[in-house]
Amino acid sequence: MSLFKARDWWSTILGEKEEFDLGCLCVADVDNSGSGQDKIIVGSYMGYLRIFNPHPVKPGDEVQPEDLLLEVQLREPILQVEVGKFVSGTEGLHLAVLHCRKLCVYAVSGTLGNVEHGNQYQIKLMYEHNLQRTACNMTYGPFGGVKGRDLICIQSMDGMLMLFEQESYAFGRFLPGFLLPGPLTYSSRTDSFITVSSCRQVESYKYQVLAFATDADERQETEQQKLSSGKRLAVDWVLNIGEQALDICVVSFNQAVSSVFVLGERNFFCLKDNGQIRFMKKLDYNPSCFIPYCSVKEGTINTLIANHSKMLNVYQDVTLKWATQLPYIPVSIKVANLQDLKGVIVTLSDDGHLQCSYLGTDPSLFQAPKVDSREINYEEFDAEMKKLQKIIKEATKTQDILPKSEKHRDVIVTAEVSPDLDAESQAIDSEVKAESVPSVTVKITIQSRVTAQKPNLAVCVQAPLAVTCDQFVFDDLEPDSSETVMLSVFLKGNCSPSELEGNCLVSYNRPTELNPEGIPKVAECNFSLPLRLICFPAQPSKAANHKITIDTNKPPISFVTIFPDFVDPSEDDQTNVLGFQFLTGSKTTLLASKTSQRYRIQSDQLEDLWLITKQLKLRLEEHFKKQNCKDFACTFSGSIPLQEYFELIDQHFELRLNAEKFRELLSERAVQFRAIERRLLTRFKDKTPAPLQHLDTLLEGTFREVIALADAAEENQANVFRAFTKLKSATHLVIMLISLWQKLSADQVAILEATFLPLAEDTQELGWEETVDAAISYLLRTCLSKSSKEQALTLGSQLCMPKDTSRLKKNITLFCDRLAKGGRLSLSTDSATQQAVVMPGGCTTIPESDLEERTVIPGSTATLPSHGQMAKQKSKPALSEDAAEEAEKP
Amino acid sequence: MSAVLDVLWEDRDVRFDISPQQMKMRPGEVLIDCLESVEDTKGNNGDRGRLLVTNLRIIWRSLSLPRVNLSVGYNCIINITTRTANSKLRGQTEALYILTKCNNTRFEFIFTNVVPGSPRLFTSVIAVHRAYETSKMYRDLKLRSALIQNKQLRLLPQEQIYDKINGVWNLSSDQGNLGTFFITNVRIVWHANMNDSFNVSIPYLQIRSIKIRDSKFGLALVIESSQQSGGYVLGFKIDPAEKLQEAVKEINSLHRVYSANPIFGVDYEMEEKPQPLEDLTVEQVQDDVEIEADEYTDAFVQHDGEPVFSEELGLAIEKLKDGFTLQGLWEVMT
Repeated sequence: MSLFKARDWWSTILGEKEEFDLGCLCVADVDNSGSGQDKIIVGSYMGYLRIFNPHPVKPGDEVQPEDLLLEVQLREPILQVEVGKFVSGTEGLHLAVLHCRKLCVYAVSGTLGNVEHGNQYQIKLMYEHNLQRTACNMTYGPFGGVKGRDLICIQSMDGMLMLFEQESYAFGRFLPGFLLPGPLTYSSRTDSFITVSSCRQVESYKYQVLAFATDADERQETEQQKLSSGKRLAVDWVLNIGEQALDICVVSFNQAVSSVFVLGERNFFCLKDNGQIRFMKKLDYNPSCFIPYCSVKEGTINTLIANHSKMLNVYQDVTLKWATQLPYIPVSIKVANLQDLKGVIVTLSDDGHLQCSYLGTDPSLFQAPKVDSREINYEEFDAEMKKLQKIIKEATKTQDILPKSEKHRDVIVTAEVSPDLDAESQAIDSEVKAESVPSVTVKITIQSRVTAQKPNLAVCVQAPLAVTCDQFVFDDLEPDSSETVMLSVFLKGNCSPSELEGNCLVSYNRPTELNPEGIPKVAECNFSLPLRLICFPAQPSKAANHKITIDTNKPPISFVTIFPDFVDPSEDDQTNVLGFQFLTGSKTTLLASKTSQRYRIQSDQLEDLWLITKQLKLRLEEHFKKQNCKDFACTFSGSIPLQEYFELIDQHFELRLNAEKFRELLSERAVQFRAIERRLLTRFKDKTPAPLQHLDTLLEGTFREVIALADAAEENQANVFRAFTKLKSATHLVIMLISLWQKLSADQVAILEATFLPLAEDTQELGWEETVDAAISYLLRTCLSKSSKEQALTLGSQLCMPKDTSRLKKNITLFCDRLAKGGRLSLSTDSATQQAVVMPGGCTTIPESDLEERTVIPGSTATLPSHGQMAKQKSKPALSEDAAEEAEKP
Repeated sequence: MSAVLDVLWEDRDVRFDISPQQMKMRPGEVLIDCLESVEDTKGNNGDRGRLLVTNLRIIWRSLSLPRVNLSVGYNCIINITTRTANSKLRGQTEALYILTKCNNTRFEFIFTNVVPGSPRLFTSVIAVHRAYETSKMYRDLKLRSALIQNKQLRLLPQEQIYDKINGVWNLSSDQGNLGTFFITNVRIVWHANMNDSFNVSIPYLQIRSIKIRDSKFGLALVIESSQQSGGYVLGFKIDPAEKLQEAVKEINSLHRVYSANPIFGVDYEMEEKPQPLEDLTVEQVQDDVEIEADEYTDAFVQHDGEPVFSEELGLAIEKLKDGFTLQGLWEVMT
């Protein structure tokens, strides 16, 4: 926004409720007065033609009646007015007026009287052309290089260029590929017409080419003929500007070379004669009209561009030289020499404000001085101020914008999981190969205390679990009403889920006084699914590949108490050993030590340990909570099964690599397929048929290969998903073990989970490995860093699939190691406070010499410098043996 | 007789702190709307006032200090918009912005309706101003405009033709132009018989004098137009002399009738009639305090400099003050 304003030199309002547009304004010495002074010619869509000769005594004077030279009402709307040498036999200027279906050329003449108001002006029709097609706009010039004459070219609404050699019609040509008319101009240097087509490109057509092309009028009859003979209208050059143009202008001022100026909706272009861009300017406003008006410096051209914010910008090529505020949005702009003043800016708005202005150079920095206020009561204002500040303070205190109680008042959603499995399984389309796939019923109730419009319930469980129906749409809920739905959850995919949880979410609109349409709101609740859904009791197995031991600080509890749904009470000997058979086939065994306070979970698969371990921990905690025992705690002092974990990572990663391979192969085969197809096509199209040379067999073979590859890729994708689910389970287990091992607080566990279990989906482009690696690297460089030097390292800006998992494995190992040495997870950037927190943690800082290079797995049985943590671990192997012995007993 | 009309200032002037005499409606001026509780947000922020809308101007008066008032003629108005303004009485509120120009001086006025939710302020002022704008033919002298269609005068809505006189010579050129007079209740129109576009429309409002004078063409009817319309002296010759006398008599009497009750052509019907102006202005008591020259006017004045051609931009610009350059000014801005 400029501080400068356009100064009103002369202005008037034309007519009553008339409309004007781009072509309606023209400045020229139309009456051939020879004075070198321009007259302003304005045509309107109401058919009024007006000619003004402004000559204010003082700038900004009121319009004098004699400033109007002529006003006539023509019968038809005026689309465009132009002044040129339109009449044969004379080089005098004449006025061309374009109506929708007519082109008229007038001579404007004046007879001088004794006084100014005695001058009379007249227009005399020289010739007119009735048009066969509805006109859009026109351009004129010495087409074909004629001397001392101007010819007219009219563009019709349906894309025909109609050329008139003054009093006679020459020919008409259709523009190729025409859809809607764009701005049109003529370049005399190249003798061509330039327009911007609906293809959003600047197109140039040579006049010569137009003249020799097939006559557009004969097109219909000679359609057949044209196909074989006849010259097609070829474009001279094309430049794609990617937007519609408002106006186009060709100028050549003395010093500068001829240029084509195009005003787009967002950009301003200057092109050379051959269509190359000389420069372009991105406009950060919405332009309304423009005019290149002169060249003040050699090689540059000055342009005026007006915009819809009523600003008028003066550019020298692309440099903004001046900007000024106009009183109206102009639809057409010209620069004129009027009454001894050169360079007057003439603007016309769409509602007929015609203004001649000059650029104000006195910035309107001025602001109205404050008028003395009357009777202000300062005490009252002070009191009000204090009151308001108090309210603001109160309001900013509560962090949540909505009070909690409010939130819960509207709509409540509750989910109730049936304690027993469905008598008759509701599972459908399950891929599990077990004899029967159980299902469990979930009852979801929505209670509304207010009017809830368009309630919509979505139920979500993580694959491979599935629900019988996941979307419910209800009618609007009345206040104090409720809706209940039942659905069943079952295991669908052929692998064990990583979590046994579900979530239901109700979205609804809550209408208010101000917003009867309703404000969108949501209510949600989580529910836990029973373990029985995915496994059933089985014979415990003695041997297993993977074993973990959880220590507690309370005597062991009989499984009859905590696993009543898995223990047959009649078999007493099962109270300290339990077998779990997963639906997917694998088996997990849970053992409780009779003498010590430990539990052991063992299985052939690492991932299968997770759900059982979690259930054990949950049920134990619940049990002790019921007994009002608050100091119950689980710990883990064994080694974190990182090697086994890494194997799972590798499995997952290998499948991802496979997917990549399949993708490449598939694209290779597809390319091959297309190449063969192309060759075949050329053979078939050829007029002299050539033998196919087994190309068809090749095509067939490639097709089969593509299909086979696609099948394999799909299968691989399913495998990736399964591997990822396993990986997730194992990750959960590792997180739990780390937190038990390091006795992490809830906050730190949350960081751990965020690090290892990113919310993003696992995809080929952005997979688990790189995401987790980035997160761990970040932690290693911030809260777990050794020195400030490490902190300085920055992460790569882009995540991409790594070549192998060695870096990730190294980082996870390092991560565990740092945690073992007392590193504390924190997201605050203040390292000083972290230090302060770490120190009282009881762990003396250990000199970190070659330890890290050896990538020691924390908690492994390797002898390590003794400190608190390590001392505990030493006693552990004995424990696990003890538990194993107990497991063998039955 | 003509003196009465020559001092028509109501629609062409912006005046501050006018006397009760000036606040009275002149003949032909009618009160169209009266709006209570309007604040002059720019000049008298925090002051409740009353806004009167007539067919020629708008008047704002402070309720607490009746001598504080302003009168804005429609002819001075450049632009009317509604925007948001900050009022002491109402806080952020929609306001009527009126940009005016009078004797090369610009004034901006902001009026705010203190009664919330009343859009009448904007509608009636804007609509009446629009009606004023579109009825200039009633009040302005026009030369060479599109008055004649098929040799007939295009009548204005409240206009009636009283007489049509053929064979009237316009004496503005050496040989004279033969044409036709149309005499109506609003104006006198002459057009050349050979050229419809050569014509003149003279509303009685703009006639300063009507005389019969001797000229080189013999006795002629001379109409002198008011200074504000350009001060034209238009000579017409009608033969024979009796016909001339008759025409002058007719024009004079119509002029007198018009002067007594001018038709300004601003046609705007309010659904509910406001109270007569007298009822609204009676409360004004003459202040016995001496009124100092108000600084209000100076505070809002802005004068434009004269235009010169700038070689640097290739455009006409306002003459720079000594010591300033275009580039310097522009660099300060950016």
